[in-house]
Amino acid sequence: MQTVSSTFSGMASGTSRKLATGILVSWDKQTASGVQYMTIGTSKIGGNDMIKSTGGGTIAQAQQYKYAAIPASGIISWSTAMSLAQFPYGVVQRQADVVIGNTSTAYLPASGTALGPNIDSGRPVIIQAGFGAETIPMFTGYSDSPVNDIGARTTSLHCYDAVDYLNSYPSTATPPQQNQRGDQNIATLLAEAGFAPNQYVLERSLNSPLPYLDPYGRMIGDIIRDICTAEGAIFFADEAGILHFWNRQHFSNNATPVATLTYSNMQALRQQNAPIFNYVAAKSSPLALVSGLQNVYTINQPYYIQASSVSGINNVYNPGFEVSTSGWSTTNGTIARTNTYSFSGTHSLQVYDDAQFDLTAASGKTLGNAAQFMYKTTSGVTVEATIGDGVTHYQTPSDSAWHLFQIPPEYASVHPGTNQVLNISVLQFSPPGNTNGSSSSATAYIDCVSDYNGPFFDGDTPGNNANFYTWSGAAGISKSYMNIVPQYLSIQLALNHETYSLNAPVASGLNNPSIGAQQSFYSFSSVSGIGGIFGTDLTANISLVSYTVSGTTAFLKFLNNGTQQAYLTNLRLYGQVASPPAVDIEQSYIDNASIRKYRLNPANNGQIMTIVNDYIPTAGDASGVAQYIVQGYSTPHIVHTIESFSLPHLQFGNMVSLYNRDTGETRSGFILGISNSMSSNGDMKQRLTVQELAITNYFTIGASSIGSASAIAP
Amino acid sequence: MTLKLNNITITQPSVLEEEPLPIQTDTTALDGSTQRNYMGYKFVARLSFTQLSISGYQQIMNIINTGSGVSYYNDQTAWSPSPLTFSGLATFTPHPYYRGASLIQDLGVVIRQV
Repeated sequence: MQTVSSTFSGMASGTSRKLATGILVSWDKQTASGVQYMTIGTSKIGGNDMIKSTGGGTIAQAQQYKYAAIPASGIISWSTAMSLAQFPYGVVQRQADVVIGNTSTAYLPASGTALGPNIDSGRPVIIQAGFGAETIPMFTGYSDSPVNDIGARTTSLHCYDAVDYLNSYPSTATPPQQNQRGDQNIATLLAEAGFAPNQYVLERSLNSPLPYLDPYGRMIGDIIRDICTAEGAIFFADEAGILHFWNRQHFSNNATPVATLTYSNMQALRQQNAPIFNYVAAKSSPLALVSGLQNVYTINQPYYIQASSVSGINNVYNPGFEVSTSGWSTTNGTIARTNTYSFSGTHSLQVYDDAQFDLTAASGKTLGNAAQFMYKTTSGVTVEATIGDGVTHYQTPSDSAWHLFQIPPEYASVHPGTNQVLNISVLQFSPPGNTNGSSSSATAYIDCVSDYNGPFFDGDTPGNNANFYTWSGAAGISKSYMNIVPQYLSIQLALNHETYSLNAPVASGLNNPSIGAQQSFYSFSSVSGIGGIFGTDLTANISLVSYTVSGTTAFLKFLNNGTQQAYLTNLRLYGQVASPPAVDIEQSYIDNASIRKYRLNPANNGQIMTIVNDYIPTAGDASGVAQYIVQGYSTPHIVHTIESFSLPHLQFGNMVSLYNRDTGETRSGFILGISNSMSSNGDMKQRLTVQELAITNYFTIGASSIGSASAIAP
Repeated sequence: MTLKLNNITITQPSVLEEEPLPIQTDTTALDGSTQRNYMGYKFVARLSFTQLSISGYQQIMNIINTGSGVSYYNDQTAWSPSPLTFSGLATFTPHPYYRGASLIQDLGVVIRQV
């Protein structure tokens, strides 16, 4: 039950209740810089401050957004619902529906309105309800795509809580976990999904630590569901968005009724027996690390890697090499450079000249924003220029005539004014054909550098030593690059075992005479043959950049430092693997008395109910989960379906007492399904599914007495 | 008493009724116990005009048939706060006119607070 004031609880059980409700939507999904909570004596009723959740002072993830309140007059109705499936374990998701008035068309996704572009899916939504001036959260989650009913002038939102978020969040960053309990594994996965420790409350898992869990590639929600199923636990998000993990003793440990329902506050009561299960088996084949190394991959196809470096170009082929700047000349107002590059072979190469200019305005001239200059170069050469803001602009002329290169003002950050310096940080001329097996040459000239706004001065034309701006420094000519593009080979390998860690692969000659029996190794050849015809051994040219393993997938990345293309022709990987046990775990729990009375599993068509879940670590755990179900369902337990005078602070999992005036009995059960709704006409409803569960007083060291009725937990 | 619709003083009605309409839902339990969920109330004003002049009739009809809501104002009301003002939606019950009939008309107008 949510924590509320005595005034709230008094009004909740009163005969005449002044309802209050609110719906908050973060249409623009902007995060709040600080969440303000309602403080008595400070906050205003109806103000922006939020009611704090009951999750031990924690803040739900969705509460960190800036919210806009739907005006109270615009709320037509809302409803929330969550319900456990047949058995008292698993992952439970809460959903909500909101209908708001849209007579003003404010919530239509029109492009010209403030809200319009934000009328979309994935909007954080909070629903609150209460009495008088006090409201409590009823739902925290995210909306689906809004539905606009033009005729009815309404906008409807279907919303899901954080469990839905986890159901579609694949794990990619969490490495395999060893010997971790279920709650520890869940905490690790929630951290990967972006949840802070104050956003969840996890009870201690009752199963033994799971020897090995590799979450890679699985949806986190699916993994948590399997963890819950493996031990009869429950995972859900509460009304404030706080995530909870309850072990299977939770109900027994919280078997205190928080409310009493009678014929005076129930509008409808239907009772039905829960299904009978008296024979449950649990099977598992849990992975566990095997000591020693095993072969997990042997290559069966070659992989090709290009050459990175190239030889024969001015005897220089190191990446980033700078040639002399003397190649540029400044003659008659024109600066020019002629370079000829030729290269051949199979490689990828970029060749370009790079100049830096400091331009100072001539006397009496004012430097405006941005820049422009004239240039001419060999047809097909790509010209790149960067000024100030780091944005590179490109032109590729189709002839060798003079062309104007303009960098618009909005892309340059130059300080305008008299005698200011304009810095063209990068000016590159890249000849075409800078790819495999080609040769190229380029001649480049620039002239008439000026600011963007000013005209070329005094009719200046390229080649005249006229009034162009003066160069400062050493004419700004800096360097010429021949940039070798490194060539990598990234491969993703399907291993033949679930692998925890790889033995570090080492380079080996084609005949790998020095490799140990279980050493991972690789070798490269000039010939792609596998099976004996390898050509020249090129292994020395190749380096292993990285290698990782995720379950049954290995990722390797090689770099070719040589001048020849090569083939990965030999690769053998060894690693520490996780393997299932030689014999699967299988445990059953049977209630023969129940079978004699009701027959075998009448709710399962007379078939043995088998839980198959590889997250059950041991035979004892398998027996425990099977026993948990049979003990809870081998005898009829009543399920009460109730429509009651709404108590908004009742929560999923609460125990309530039910007084049946016709039988004179008071029975207790747990809320395993709850829905709340409110309409604009004051129709506030609550529907509960209350199930009676087998309550066990578990033996607790330090609390229970030897010889007492307390039971040893399965 | 000054009665205004959209800030225009109108002819005094023959009968004027003002009352708050509660927005609430009563629910009944299995043993007959009742609980009321109360959202608040909205005012409704009922104006009845008998033998309204043609100009008065047309004035009121023009006000309430603009396609928008109307603002209601009464400076002498039993309800608090006074004067009673609210924005509302108007509906009306005109008497049919046929050729040869008197131009003096009866008119009923109901304005419900939005």
